Amino acid sequence: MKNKVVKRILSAVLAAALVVSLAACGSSGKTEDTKTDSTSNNTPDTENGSTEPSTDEKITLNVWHQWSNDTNELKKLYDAAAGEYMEQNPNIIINTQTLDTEAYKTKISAEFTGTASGIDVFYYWGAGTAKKLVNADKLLPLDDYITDEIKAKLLPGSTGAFIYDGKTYSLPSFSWYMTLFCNQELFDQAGAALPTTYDEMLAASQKLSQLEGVTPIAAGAKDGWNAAFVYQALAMREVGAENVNKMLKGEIPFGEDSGYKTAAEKVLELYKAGAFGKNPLESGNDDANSAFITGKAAMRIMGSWFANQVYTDDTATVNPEKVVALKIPMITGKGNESDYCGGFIESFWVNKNTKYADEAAKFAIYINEQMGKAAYETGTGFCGWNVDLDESKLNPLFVQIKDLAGAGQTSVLAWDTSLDANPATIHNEQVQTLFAPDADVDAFIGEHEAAINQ
Amino acid sequence: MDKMLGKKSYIAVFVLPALLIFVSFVMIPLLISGTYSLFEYDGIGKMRFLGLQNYIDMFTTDRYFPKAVVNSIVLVVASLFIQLPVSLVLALVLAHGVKGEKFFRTVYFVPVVISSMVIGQLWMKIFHSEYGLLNILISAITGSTFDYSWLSNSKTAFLSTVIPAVWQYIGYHMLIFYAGIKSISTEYYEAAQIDGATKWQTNMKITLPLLTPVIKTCVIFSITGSLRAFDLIYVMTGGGPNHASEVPATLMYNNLFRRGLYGYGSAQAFFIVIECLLFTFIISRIFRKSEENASAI
Repeated sequence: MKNKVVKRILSAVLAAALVVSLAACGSSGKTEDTKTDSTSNNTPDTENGSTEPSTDEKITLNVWHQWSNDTNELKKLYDAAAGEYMEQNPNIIINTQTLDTEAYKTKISAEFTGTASGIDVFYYWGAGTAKKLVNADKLLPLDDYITDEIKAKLLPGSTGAFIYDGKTYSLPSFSWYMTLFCNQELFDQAGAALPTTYDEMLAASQKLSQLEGVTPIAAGAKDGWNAAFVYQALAMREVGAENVNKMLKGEIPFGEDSGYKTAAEKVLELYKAGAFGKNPLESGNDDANSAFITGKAAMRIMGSWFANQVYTDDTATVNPEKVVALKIPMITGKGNESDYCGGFIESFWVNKNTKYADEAAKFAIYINEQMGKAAYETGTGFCGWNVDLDESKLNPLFVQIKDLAGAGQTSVLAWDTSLDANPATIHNEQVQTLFAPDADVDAFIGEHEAAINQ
Repeated sequence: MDKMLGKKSYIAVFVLPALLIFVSFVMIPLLISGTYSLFEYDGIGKMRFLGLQNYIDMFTTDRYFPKAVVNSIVLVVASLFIQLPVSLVLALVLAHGVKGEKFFRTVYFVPVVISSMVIGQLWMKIFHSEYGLLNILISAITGSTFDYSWLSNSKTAFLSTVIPAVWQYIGYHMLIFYAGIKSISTEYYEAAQIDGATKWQTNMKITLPLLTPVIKTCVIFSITGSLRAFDLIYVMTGGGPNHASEVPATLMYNNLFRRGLYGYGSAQAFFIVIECLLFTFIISRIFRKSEENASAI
């Protein structure tokens, strides 16, 4: 009898424990999001102590960005800039949270299906990427906060990706520049000349492909955006940056200019000449970067950020002094030399539902400027602000790119950041089909027309 | 104990935790997905009601989805006619005592324990055009360099993902069969031995019929697993090149997270659920009769 009672009590307790623990899980779930991933820079300056009239209520701004790796230069510089901001504004606490790029994108999308109450300021991509958020009225226009003084500091033409319907939702931070990186040593070995035109690039590729174990151009085509870079570079030269921009904005249909088809044929021509090696779809971005910095590939078409890796990557065996940065080769008789791929796209934005619109907007503007400076000084990108910059630490390769970028006038952003998500994905996938023996250029154009000209 | 289970309130209390978890993590998300599937929705903006249009589009305007379904059926067939028979034979051999039984049991089970990401990487290396094991082997046999790229060629990409997918779970099904065989009473075998039955006869007349419920479980696992296959294919080819190795789950992932087509992606997700339920139901019906026979023994 006693035994039975004990059993009953035990079972009731067990069941209760289960229910309680489950309920606990449920309620803590909500707060969990804002607690995790918190980085350690919510340490307001303690030296100043409480001598300041800090009677004002402290305001905490939740800021999100995607430089999650502690070794990332930009993360360190962000942390320093945020720390300085808190020093200058003792009533504000910057609470920063980070996630890795892909997880970050998903997180931001998921948060903004609701009100994103845990986000005040966040890092994002302009043009086609943020358009969805602007259309859904999720972002705060910053026009009221952009003083003439700020306007005067902005580089001309750097705000295009942040203006929607005449309203400015963010300010530029730093830009990138698509570069043709060449390994001079391999060119010398193959007896090839550094290319300035497409025909020279094709000829050089043919010579380079004779070298044992060397891929003329590391395409990284397994990653769609890498493959797309090659096509976008040639299309920019064929069609001209201004025309490509009009197409991306939907002002003129894709395919109206026959240059899009010619560019596709040129990618295929390079593939057939063995310029990308035998199986370019087998290697992605990391493989291709690695092939270049270990001297297994002679050329790489990549953003300016790649320059840094040539110097800092532990596995690099290539002599950085023998790496030459060139602009995308011209196509004889077509395009403008001053056209380039790249531009301003990344920056910090403000959630429209933030409780502290004024403070968040001011911080967003501040951090955009600071990160622009930081990106430049570390040789990652080009600052969008006309401010004093420290050039002492720039690596020589980046200085080469800087000179190229200085001559640039009209830029085309990466297509997948300009287009909506669906056509952007189709574009990247379709370019990959050009890197295979059974490529069909007409189908390629047809797919693009169907996706882009909607 | 009987007394306790007789009281409805007790049953309710005991079932409640599991039921709560099941409802909140399975049923509710399923219903939400089902609802999304009736809308045009980009995940952030306004939702536009479409009715069943998403489901119609899957088989009319979508050029990749029907192919993906066919691919998943190929995977089902390969699982049923390659994976399960191999597992069964291995289980029979192991269960009837071979030297190093425990060792082999563990070895065959290793791929099940390893993450699909790792398996994917492993097989990508095997299929690699330059340093892949397969091409090196072919080169050695033929004496000339063979550098075919199995995974980046649309003709062989899907087949190259089917092989590891089938291979990976052989150990899993083998273990289930093995446990099933071990649980059959040895009396039957002793009686058969006295009657002079051969090994083949005991396997066919005793083991297999008594194993029917286990086989049914494995068939259901195998089919539903193939229909919703994702991780290995996603790692190895990502559905490419040019959608050649797409299965419904990789398309769904692409639509949901890359293209921002939440409504359409949800419809594909819901289709996979329905498909799996349907197959489970059909298999149960097919096996009902043979199970009755088995229990009659």
